Amino acid sequence: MEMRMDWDADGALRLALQGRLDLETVPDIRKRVLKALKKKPSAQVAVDLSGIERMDTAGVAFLVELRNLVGGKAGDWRLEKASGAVMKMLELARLDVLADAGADHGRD
Amino acid sequence: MAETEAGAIIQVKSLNSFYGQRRVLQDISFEVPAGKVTVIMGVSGCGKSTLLRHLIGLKPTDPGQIFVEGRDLAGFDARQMEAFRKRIGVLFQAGALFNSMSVRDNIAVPLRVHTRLAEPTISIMVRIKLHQVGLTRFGDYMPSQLSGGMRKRAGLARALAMDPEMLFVDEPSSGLDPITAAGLDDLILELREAMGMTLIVVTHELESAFRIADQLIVLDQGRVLAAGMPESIRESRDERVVQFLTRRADERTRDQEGYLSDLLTGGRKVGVHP
Ligand SMILES: Nc1ncnc2c1ncn2[C@@H]1O[C@H](COP(=O)(O)OP(=O)(O)OP(=O)(O)O)[C@@H](O)[C@H]1O
Ligand SMILES: [Mg+2]
Repeated sequence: MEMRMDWDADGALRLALQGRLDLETVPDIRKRVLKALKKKPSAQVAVDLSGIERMDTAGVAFLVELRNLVGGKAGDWRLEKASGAVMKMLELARLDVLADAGADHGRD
Repeated sequence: MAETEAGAIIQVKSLNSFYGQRRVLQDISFEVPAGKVTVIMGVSGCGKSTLLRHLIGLKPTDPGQIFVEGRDLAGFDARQMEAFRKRIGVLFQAGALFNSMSVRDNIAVPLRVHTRLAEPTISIMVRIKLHQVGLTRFGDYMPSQLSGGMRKRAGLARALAMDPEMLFVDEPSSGLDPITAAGLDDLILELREAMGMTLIVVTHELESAFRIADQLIVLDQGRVLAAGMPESIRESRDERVVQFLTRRADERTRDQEGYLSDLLTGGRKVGVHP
């Protein structure tokens, strides 16, 4: 599993994940991301999922936790480039709402 | 993943099974295709649960009868068996929850034991599983406080905890109303779709079986009566298959003389009275 974290000028975090996001990789990824966010708190997070090959419920749970950590307001949280397979996992968890957070400024 | 020809993840070859001297499965052969739903049907007592116990390595199998990805299950050492068990989820017919812990903890146990996931992650995963089986608000309940159908669904949530590659479920919808049962059927199909999960489902519900099955196996008195795609089973002309599908009960006590003598002897074989 590869991970890149970048902060833009406004302090928004951009997280790019590659490979498997599952119950074997989530423990370490979570640790690293939480540590980074502690050092550099960020109220806005965008997660680029284009490189995800496999995601399971642990991966979904990690995204939920991350979203909650940054406040979870529309616009402050964005999932980008979720593949069909990733979307299916989100739907299976009844959490496809996670993926359209970026597009729903109008909603609550 | 190493698959055998035709994408079979499990192969059963002339499986025989005994309880003591009594043979309950005879010459069972079929393949479980990866990423598909295999449904096992048959009347009560025909050997469905026994077959499942063999498939999950719980009841010892003779060499050469069950293969997982081409490797003989009978030859698995303790480590291989543990690795296999981590890849499968099982819902037993009787549910089998730990009665001393809440539903939430029941589902969390496999994750706590087998993974390094942090507790906050586990807690979210458990809620997702509870939601999937329609028990969102019952995490804090003890198993004894649930109805039979709810216990069954809690057991399913636990079987799903690790997102297993293969899921074995013994009568998931027993005790459920038709609407909740249909919801379970949908979930089973979704698991196949979203995760490519291989499912082996024992059920009595004909309608459900035909809805979810990619492959149907009908057992009768410990033998495979019919196996194949649902359409081919439905079109079968075999008298016993037709009888099973139309739900005609066996003629009432064909042999009344034998029955009468059973009533008097308790079924023991005795000599003819003088
Ligand atoms: N632990 C056991 N010891 C001895 N005999 C057993 C045991 N478990 C099952 N049997 C016998 O094996 C046969 C098959 O039982 P099994 O539980 O596999 O049937 P089943 O098809 O699952 O039935 P049901 O639909 O009622 O669950 C039955 O005749 C039963 O009496
Ligand atoms: Mg049974």
